[in-house]
Amino acid sequence: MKRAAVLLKGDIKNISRDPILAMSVIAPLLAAVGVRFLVPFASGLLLRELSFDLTIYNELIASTMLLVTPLMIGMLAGFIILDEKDENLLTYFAVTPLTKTGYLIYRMTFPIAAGFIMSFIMLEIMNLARLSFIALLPIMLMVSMEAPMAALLLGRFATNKVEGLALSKAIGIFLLAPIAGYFIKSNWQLLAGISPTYWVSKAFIAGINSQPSYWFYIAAGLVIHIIYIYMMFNSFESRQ
Amino acid sequence: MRLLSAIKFDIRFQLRHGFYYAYLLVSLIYILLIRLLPVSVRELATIFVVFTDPSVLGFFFIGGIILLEKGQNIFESLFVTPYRTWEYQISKLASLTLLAFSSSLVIVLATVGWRVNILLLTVGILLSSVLFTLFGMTLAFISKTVNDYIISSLVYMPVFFLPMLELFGIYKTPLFLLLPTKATLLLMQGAFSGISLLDFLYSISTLAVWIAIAWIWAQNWFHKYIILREGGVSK
Amino acid sequence: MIEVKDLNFAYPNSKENTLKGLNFSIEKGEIFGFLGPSGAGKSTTQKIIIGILKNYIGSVRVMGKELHELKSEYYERIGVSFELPNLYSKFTALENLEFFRSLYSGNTENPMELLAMVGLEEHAKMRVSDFSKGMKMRLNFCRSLLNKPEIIFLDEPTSGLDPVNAKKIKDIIVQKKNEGRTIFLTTHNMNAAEDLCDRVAFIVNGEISLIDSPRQLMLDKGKKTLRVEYREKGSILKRDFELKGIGDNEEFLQMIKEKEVETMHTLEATLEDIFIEVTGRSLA
Repeated sequence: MKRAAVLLKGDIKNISRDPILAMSVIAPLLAAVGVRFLVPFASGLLLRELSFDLTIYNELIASTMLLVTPLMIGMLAGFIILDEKDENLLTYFAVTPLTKTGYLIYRMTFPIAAGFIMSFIMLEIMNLARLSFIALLPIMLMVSMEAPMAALLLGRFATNKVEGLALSKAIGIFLLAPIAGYFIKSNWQLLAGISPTYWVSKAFIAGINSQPSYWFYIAAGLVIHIIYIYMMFNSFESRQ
Repeated sequence: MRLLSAIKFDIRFQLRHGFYYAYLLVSLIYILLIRLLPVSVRELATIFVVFTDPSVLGFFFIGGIILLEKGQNIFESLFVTPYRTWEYQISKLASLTLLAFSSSLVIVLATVGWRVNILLLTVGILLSSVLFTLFGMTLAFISKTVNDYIISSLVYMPVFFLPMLELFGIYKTPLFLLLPTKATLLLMQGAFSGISLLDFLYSISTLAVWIAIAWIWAQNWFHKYIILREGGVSK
Repeated sequence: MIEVKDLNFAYPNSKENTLKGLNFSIEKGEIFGFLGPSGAGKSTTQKIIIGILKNYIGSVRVMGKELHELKSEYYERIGVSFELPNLYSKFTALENLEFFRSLYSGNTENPMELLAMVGLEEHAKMRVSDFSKGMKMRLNFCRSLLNKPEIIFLDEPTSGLDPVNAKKIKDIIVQKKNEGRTIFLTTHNMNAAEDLCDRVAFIVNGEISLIDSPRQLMLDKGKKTLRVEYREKGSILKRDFELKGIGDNEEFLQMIKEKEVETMHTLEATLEDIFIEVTGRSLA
């Protein structure tokens, strides 16, 4: 606990020095507010002008937005890890009583918590689709795992910040998986299931429409998320 | 020739850091997605994708490159050779714009094919890429970390994407004409459906003015925040 | 080769001048040491002479021309190695040198030969990210020699090196001097300065307090004394003798004849001692 406190103190100092972590909370909130006002406005307009009903995509927009926050927070955490790698702090932490596992767990705690809480708040603000708390809970669990996954991906596979940027570009593709899952009607869409985000969106939409497939998507999604996290965590630990 | 060799090295640098692989993947996914859309909206989707992603990728990547070079003290060793800051800037602009152009072209050709005015499209992508790479440079000179960079870009980048509202017919205002991105959009749309001479001249000159300002600004901050602080601490 | 007169410099936003009226000149083929603690103005001076800091007051003439008149062509003729290694880590040693070499339009060295000179030829194809600190330092040093520079600026060239490699670097510096190159050496390592420099300048708080050759300084400031250590009844004793007329000193002659002498040294001051004596500051 004491060790984590020392790290936390450093992070709080960082927040006061530059508002990065604060921004990672504020930006999603702003995005959610934007969606809340812009989407109904755009829907009305499109319906009037083009007779195009955007509202049928509300679930898809909501589930995709839901994934933006944890992925973004995860990438920010990933870049902190890369910075600490660059400054050899990682090697330093590894030989303190904190150990590398401790460091990783600490580094992942904030993104997980922030992803979990922020997703709830965003859903409330966006007001596009509603789901009972019980049905939402397992989805949120998956959502909060997106952040550490993105962070570990960056920390594990990028050797410096430039590679980190290239990689985060690729991570951004995860956001397209829900869209593929929505529009591709054939079984080919299962290919998008390589990306964990696919399952989050699928479960979310199935839950809203009270389809029994909800349980399948939750089960498969949780398994896939846990496998990914476990693999990433181990590989990060053994590699550095 | 020095500049040519620098551009070549920058391209190798970007290859080695995975830029080309990342964009190969990104472009493929975009192509796949756009081709799934009904033919009637493919054009719009293609413009949207090229405009929001490859044409501004320079902004995204230059931040990391400059922060890395800052961190590895590369600048001090570069500018005690005959290599000048303007050559450095040109080399970065050229190499990143090449990537932007290749990725855009692949996406456009694979989605809507040759039914497009390649010259107009090229002009639009080149100018947009150069401008945003310069923006990124300026911001990177004063940023300390990549997170710093990303967060501050989140604050003002959305402004530049506002003309997209017009693209989708959501909101129109002549004020957008002040933004360089409106000019880029006009050029890109023009590549598909033709452009009036007036719009063309407006677009080119707007982008040129923005680029000139951004260039001078970047030069200034390059000197102030990088060159003057080279080779050890100075108070 | 380099002539500095009444050089003053202040950073923007700083009240005090960082450099306060420096005067010195460096001859062609000379190794000139610029010694001082950190923050004394060493790197500021170097940055002015290599043309990075421009708004100085006073005169700096390099190769017969005022610095303001020198264009980018100047960089074809100087080589600079900074204290911290600065290389592209994802590229190999050879690729790094090849790139920097391509920035020069004049005559350049063969990178492989440079690498061989510092004992890195076997690591030419290795990425710099896998280099140790000492290897990076040596590669960095190579980089400053690529364009066969007439003036070489070296900042702490031996820091972080083991004695064998430090010796290698020192030998190359002397060899460059013998080829007629001028070397401007910034350091707080007194041993390196003692071994290499023809003349040294002590700089503290932006002022030069002394310029002389290390040998002369050590002779002037050292005590003219010889210390003899000898063994007697199992313990080691020592006695000091005035150097003057030591050949006629009966006591001394008797001692070296009869006692079991272990060591004999003249007590020159080290450059470090002299620096402290002259400037009242230590170098660390």
